[in-house]
Amino acid sequence: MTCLEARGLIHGMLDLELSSNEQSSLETHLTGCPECRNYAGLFGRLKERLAALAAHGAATGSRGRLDVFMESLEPVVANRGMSATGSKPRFVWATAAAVLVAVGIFAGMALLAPSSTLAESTIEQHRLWGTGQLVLDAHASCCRQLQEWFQTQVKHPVDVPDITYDGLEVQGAKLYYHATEHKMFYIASHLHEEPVSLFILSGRDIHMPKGSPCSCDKPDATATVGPDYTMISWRSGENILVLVTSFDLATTEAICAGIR
Amino acid sequence: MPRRTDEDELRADFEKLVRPHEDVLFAGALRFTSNRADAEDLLQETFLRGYIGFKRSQDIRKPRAWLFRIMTNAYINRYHKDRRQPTRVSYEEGLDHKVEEVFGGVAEDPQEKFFGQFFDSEIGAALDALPDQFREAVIMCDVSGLTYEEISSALDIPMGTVRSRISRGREMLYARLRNYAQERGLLRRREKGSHR
Repeated sequence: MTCLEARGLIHGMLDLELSSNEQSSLETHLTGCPECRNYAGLFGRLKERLAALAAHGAATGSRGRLDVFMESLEPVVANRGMSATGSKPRFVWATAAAVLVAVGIFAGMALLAPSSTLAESTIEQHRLWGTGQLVLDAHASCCRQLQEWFQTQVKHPVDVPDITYDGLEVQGAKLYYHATEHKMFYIASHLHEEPVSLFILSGRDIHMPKGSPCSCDKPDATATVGPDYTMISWRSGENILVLVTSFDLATTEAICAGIR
Repeated sequence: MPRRTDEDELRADFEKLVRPHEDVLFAGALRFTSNRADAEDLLQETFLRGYIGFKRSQDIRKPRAWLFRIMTNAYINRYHKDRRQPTRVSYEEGLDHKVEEVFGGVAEDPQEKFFGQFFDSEIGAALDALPDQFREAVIMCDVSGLTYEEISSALDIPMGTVRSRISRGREMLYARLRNYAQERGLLRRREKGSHR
């Protein structure tokens, strides 16, 4: 594969739109080509900046545009003495819209109380890009328990470095490309000044299409309690999700239960 | 209590269909029009056209792509009639430089430093200056987060064309930002590097 061919594929890789064969060929090339790796980093960063434009526009815009439109249809309905959206007051819809925006912008990055916002969150990969919080981080790492558990899922060795959870400065989210074809999306924040991380593992065999909601009822979740962390892992469709906190098991389970 | 009519049901269903995409639609409209007031108008027109279409058929399988297709057509008709025909731009013309010249030799890790020097408004302006067909694809993918399949459906172009427009559009955008930075002395012109 030439560099020009690789660069045609790199954009597809950034958009998670490559086939397994394309992904594999590209990664083989990237392993030996620092210029193309840099090209990938460059356009990954550009993609983040473009996504931030959307977040900025949403954050500074007035809400309720659909409400305005629905209200423009209202007079005909009002003449019949009935709202198009039932009897709910307007402020309820305005509040719901505000919640949607807040969830959309901050899903996955903000640390959210298990009893409220986190429970209402839907982790969407493109939303995470939208926050501009995913950065290419060659230094990201994850814990040995995660590695071992992950290997039991993928049935082959995965080269994942150790994590030092204590002292880990958690801010924003990170996207880590494994030495293998697998990717790890790492979402992190704080709850009561304690770090909480949600890992979404995805790759050639475990693929999360862009924009697909990440949700599951966690029927097969397993918990691991370490000396300084608690980890709960489960499958969501073809993806593997891992929640790591520095809380005890009960608190971690409560947080996990709040994730849809 | 008054009985809910078919029209009420239709409106409720339309609202339910559109609500999840309101933000990405507005983000796309804002970048299409580069103007908040125009973006608001474009979005309202999109909702109206969408509602009219929804009354004809409720079989909407890809609502986000469907809405973006409506918005793109509304944008072309209302805001862009004088440029209805896509601008034909060759790869090299759009980039201003051949890809080897622009990206070759960038062996260091400058992306954070490079992009860190631009304001959002400057990146937005560079995006606005792209030829339409590339700009639309990049906006839909990177600003609004549509998949290639959704963009293909929204713009009615093959998937391969989507892919090439996005990659070329981004490279053009980078080239414009790079030129902009060089013109203002923000970036020292790099030597051409080796390229495989």
